[in-house]
Amino acid sequence: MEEIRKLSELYGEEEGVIVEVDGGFGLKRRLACLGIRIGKKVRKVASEPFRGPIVVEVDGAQLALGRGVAEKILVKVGE
Amino acid sequence: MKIVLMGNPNVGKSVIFSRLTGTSVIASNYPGTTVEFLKGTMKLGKEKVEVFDAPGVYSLEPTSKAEEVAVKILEGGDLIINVVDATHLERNLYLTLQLLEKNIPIIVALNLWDESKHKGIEIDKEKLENLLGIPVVPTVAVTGEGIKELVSRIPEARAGNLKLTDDERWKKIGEIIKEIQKVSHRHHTFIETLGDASVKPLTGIPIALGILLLTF
Repeated sequence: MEEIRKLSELYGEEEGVIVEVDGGFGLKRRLACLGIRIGKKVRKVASEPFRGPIVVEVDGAQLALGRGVAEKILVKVGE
Repeated sequence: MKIVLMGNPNVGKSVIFSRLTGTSVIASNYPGTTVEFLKGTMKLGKEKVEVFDAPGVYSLEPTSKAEEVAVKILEGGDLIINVVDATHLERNLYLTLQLLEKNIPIIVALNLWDESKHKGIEIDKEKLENLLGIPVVPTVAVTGEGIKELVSRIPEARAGNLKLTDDERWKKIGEIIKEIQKVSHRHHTFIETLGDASVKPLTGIPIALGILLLTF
């Protein structure tokens, strides 16, 4: 079952493919430099409590993203 | 002459800086240790040259104070040593391609070379040299491996004449990576397994208690 969810709404160590970054030009470019680009595979590693950052793995590198940023990244899961 | 060390955060610029100049700067294993720039001198042949250690940047469009500093230093440089993390080549090459548009001679230090081998990443460095058109030297800054070769090849540094849009840049990086990098599967090392175990509460708390007991 395929569905599109926000990166912040992935469960456990779910994996998905980035389909959209819903942000301004600056944010898109900044995330692109960190490896968050459309078509990339991401895996959620951890989600810190109290609306803390979300840790994801892209290209073998772990990134911590603020919750607000993670909410702007749309991911296709369940292929 | 002014040499500027440029690269992404946490790739080892400061360690290379220490190796080149002989001064010790604070280097630690997390991004953003260098916020202001550092200046040192080294000998290149008979000439005394200035070396600048810039804060790490992901791109040349600054998004933070530290990145602004880096971009400003770059403007005054005569030669760039682009320090690249061999284990995350893809995202490091973005800055390299941007630097190639700057009309300043560049040499690439492919740092963390040993680490990339541990991770099962194979990089064809000759091909990378050809594709980029600038010298690429594998280095291991913490042990000093490759630093001599890096210095000896500084005269070979060349300026690029690229002009790319953002999308073209990513496409080009994709092509380069496909050509030169092979990633083979590799089992986790004992240290990594231990590292993972130590951050999970179920296994981490006993490990932490064990270490605390050992220290007393």
